[in-house]
Parts: sequence; C-alpha cells; structure tokens
Amino acid sequence: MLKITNLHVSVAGKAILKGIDLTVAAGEVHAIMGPNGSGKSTLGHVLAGREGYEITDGSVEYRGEDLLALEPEVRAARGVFLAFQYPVEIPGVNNTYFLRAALNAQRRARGEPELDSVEFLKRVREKLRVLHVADDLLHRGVNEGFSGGEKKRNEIFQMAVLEPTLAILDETDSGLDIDALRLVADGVNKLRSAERAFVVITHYQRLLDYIVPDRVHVLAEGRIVKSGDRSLALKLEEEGYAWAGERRLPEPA
Amino acid sequence: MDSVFLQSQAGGHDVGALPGPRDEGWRYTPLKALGARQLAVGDAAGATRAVELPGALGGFRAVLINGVWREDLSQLADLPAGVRVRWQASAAAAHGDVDALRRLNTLNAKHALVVEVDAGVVLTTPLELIAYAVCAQSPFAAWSRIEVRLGDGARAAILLRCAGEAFAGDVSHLALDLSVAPRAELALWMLDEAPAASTLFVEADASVAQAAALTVCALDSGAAVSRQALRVQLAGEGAKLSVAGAAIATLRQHSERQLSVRHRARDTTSELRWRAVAADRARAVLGGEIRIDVGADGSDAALSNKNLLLSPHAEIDTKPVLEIYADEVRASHGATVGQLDERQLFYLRSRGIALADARALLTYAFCAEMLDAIGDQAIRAAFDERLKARLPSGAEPAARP
Repeated sequence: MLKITNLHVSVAGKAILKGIDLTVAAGEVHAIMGPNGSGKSTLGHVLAGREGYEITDGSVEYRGEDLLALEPEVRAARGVFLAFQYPVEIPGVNNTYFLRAALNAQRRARGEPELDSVEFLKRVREKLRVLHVADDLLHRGVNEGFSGGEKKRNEIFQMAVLEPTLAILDETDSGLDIDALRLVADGVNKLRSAERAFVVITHYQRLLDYIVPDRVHVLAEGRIVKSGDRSLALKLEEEGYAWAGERRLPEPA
Repeated sequence: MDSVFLQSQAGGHDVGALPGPRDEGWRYTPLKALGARQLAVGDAAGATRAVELPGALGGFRAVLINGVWREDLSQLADLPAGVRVRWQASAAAAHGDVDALRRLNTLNAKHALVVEVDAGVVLTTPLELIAYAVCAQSPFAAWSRIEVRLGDGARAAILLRCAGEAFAGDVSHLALDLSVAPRAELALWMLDEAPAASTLFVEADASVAQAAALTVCALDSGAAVSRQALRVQLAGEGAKLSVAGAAIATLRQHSERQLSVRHRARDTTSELRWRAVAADRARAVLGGEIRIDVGADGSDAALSNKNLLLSPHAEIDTKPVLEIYADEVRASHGATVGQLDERQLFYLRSRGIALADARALLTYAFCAEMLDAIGDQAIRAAFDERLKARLPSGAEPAARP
C-alpha cells in the first residue's frame, strides 16, 4: 500500500530525513518510534502533504501512485489521513459542518454520492457511540477550547467518520491519561481491517500495549536504524533509545 | 459650494463643503466622484413604483422605497399595543458637529420613519425596517431618516436592511436616531445588501440611558462606496453597549465603518468588536473611538479590530482612538491585520477540503463569529447567506515573503 524509498527531506536547508525506506502492506500496523527530533513528525507531515518541506531525494508510492505529487486534499480523498500531534483550533467553524464538508468533498472526489444531513448524522452518531465521544463536541468549533485529550479524541473521531485507507497517527498518545489512551487505542483497533493500514508514530511504547503493531521501526537522526516485531518496542522501553542508536548503520561513504 | 453634487442637492442653501481628506473621520472616504455627480433629490415616483421586495425576515416590516414610505408594502397590521410605526414630519436633527451630507439629510428628508415602543412593552418578534433602492428614470440621492425610541424597560429587536435592485446605482444617505430609555434593551441588526454599484452612507446616533443596553450586530458588504457610522452615548449609569460586526470588501469596494462610544456616566460598559476582510483591490476602513468623560468612573471599554488582507492589492486601514478623562476605568484596544492561517488551511485540506473551499470556509468563520449575538434563527440565516454570497472567490493570500 505504502512504499517509501530512500526519502530525503530538508526544512529550510537542514536535512531532517536522510534516507527512509519503509513498506507498509494493507492490513498492517507499523509503529515508528524514536527520540525527540528524530524526524518522526516530519515523516507524518510529508506524507500528508504539508508545505515547507523540501523533498531532496527518494519517492513515496501509495497504492501505485506518486503520493508526493498530489495536493493534500487529493491525498485525503485517496484515503490518507493524518491524526495531528497538535490539532489546530478553528474557531467559528462548526465541527459537524466541517466534518460533513470534508467527507462529502472526499466522496465527490471519488465519484461517490454525497451524504445528506440525515445520513451523515446517522454515521456520526454511530461513531460517537462506539468511541464514547461526548455529543456536545459536535456543536463546538473545530477543536475550539478543547482540552489536549479532547483534541486527540476528536482526531480519532474524525478518522472513524472519514474511514481512511492509510491512517498516520502522530504522537496521538502524548498528553493522554490512561483512560483517554484506552479510548484512542480502542478507536484505532475498531478500524483495523485487512484493507486498512496504520502508521503509529509514538515516543513511548505505552500506546503499543493497546495498539499491537505488526512491525516496529526505530527512527534516529532521520533514518530507520532498527526494525523488528513488537518485542523491539519492549526492548526499547527497557534500554532506551541509546541502545538502538548504537546499532545505527554506518554513514554511507 | 463648487460641487455639482452639492448644488444639485442643496437647493440654494449653504451646507458647507463635502468633507475631505483633512476632516478626521473622512480622510479615507473617496467623495471626489460623488462631488461631480448631478443627481435628482430623492425619487418622486418612489411612492408608486412597482417593487419586488426580498422576503420579509421579521414578524413585522416597514418599507422605504428610494427613501419614501410605502405603507402598502409594509406589514404592520398586528403590531402589539404600545408599539407604533409612523411616517411623520421630521424634527430638525439636533446633532452637533455635522457635515455637509448630514445637513443635506436634515434639509431633504422631510419625513422620518418613527418607531416607538412604550415603556414596559416587549416586542417579541423582530421588526424589519428595509430601505430599498429601485432603479429610477434619472439617478438620484435618497435621503432617509429613521427614529427608534424605546420607553423605560421596553425591549425590541430591529433588523435594518439596506438593499436594492441589482443595478440600482444611486446614492442613499440614511440618518438613524436611536433612543434607549432607562432599563430598556434594544437589539439592532444591520444587514447591508446594498446594490454593488451604489453609494451608501449610514449615520446612526444612539443614546443609551441608565441601566439600558444596546446590542448591535452588523454585516457591511454591499455598496461600491459605503461609509457607515455609529455613534453611541452611554448617558446613564450602568448603560451598556455591545457592537460586533464584519465587513467584506472585494473588487474595488470601499467599505468604511466608524464606531464611536462616549462614556458619559459611571459604570458604563462598551465592547466594540469589528472584523474586516479585504480582497482584490478593495479597501476596508475602521475608525474606532472610545471616549470616557470626566466622572465616568468605573467605566469598562474594549475595542478590538481584526482584519484579513486577502490580496497584495487590497488595503486595510484601522484607526483606534482612546480618549480617557476619568481615573478609575478599564479601557483596551487592539488591532491586527493578517492573512489566513496556513496551519488551519493545511488542517482543512488534509481532511479533503480543496484549497479554495478551505479559504472560503476560514474567511466565512472569521466573519461569522461576529454574528453570534443575533438571536433570531431566520435572521441569522439571512446574514449567513449574505456572508457566504459575498465571500471573495479564489482570493489569493498575499505573496509570502
């Protein structure tokens, strides 16, 4: 589904990602772990299409297409979803209105019929119930005045409504207490399916107790320095990132 | 008086010169083209013109066509006892510091539409006052007066619409006089749907008495040149004023709003919030003035002005003024000019909303927040509809550095 090859990315002339290779198949959950500043969030933003990142080398193929050539809204319509680490507040834009506009824009782009407000609300109510999200969230401005935990839950709620094919979760666990963490993990687990893939970016292995990954990758200084199964995350938890860092591949000559 | 316009309107009276760049409060207003226009005084046929008005938004409606009262088009049959709407000979305006245009209004508006709500009476459905411009044989300047008086403890919501036929290209000058007696509450919602080729002047003066409140919501959006002023005197202890509004200026529009409040009594409160969007080659102006008189201790005044500049060729002028002559007061003002937030745009796009739609949505939200005080759903929806219709299409943000 997703094939990242030798991806190099710079911000303002400074190299952040220095040759990422990553292949994610449909149905898989990949965790990307790493210390602060290792480039985890950059990877998420680049996949979603944020401006300000310069791709200096490499490619990203998503379901046979060159993902990097697509506008962010086109990526969304193709099924790419980024759950933001810091979701922005948009006062004055009603959450329900926003979500319906987003869903219908995606559906239009895919040539699917738009949902009318009755169909849309039905879908929304189902997801609210499943995710234990409070109803009043719908009537507020997008993330407006939300607590950190509410913002994260709103991201997962949006993901549930939009039903993406590839969901990238950027430190969705940071700042969450254990109950909120469970709810978020629950939301992800309910969406897991053979057609859908997840890239879970996290600093701590705690989230991976609840979202059990198929593969774990350690990102350090812009490279994936180690990949393995779930046990890698546990090992990191015990030994810290320094352990993985020592096993870093040598600089290419 | 060398202005063709003044000669055509003043009928030999001396009303002074048109205000110009040297007059504070008019320095941004482009009146040169107006000064050269030869216009009829009012539209004599306005009283009988066939008109197709937009649907009524209030429970009651009073209609002025080209400045002339049209009882036949108004809907006032079931006004509750203690509420009167009349067309009557206007008393001379008693405002100091007037300009030539206001003198012309006093001279030419022989009648005023007078709305009175008696003491203690509550008007539960909004009253719509619509000043509607219709194309006439020859171009004209319409001079209108509206007076609204609320008695002690009365309550009412009034929707003031300035609208007109699509190609009406005339000049409208509306003087609005509001008097809010002790403990009364007046909500004034100003919906500007003026025709795109027209010139609109609104001069609103309000006096708010002890423990009374005036709440104003406005959307300025229509005319090629508009200058709408609201001057409020908080005359009695504990009087309150709240103003929230937005202006959208596109193409080559000049959209100007003057807000001024004078705190004349103790413990008076004013909150002025204004937002403007300027796109294309348009210009949006806000003059905001807060004055707190000697003895008006305990006053609390706040003025905030936020602006969106959506094109490198558009212009925003914002001029806040604070004059404070009392010691125990709180007063603040702030003004910002910016562009659409890149992070918000990306967030919307990452959810599938196309760039142009994301821009429109953020611009809409920026303005719509100012309209939340409108308590009537149908009227709020009409403001929303107007706002959406006026969003700049495909406006590019100013070039990034």
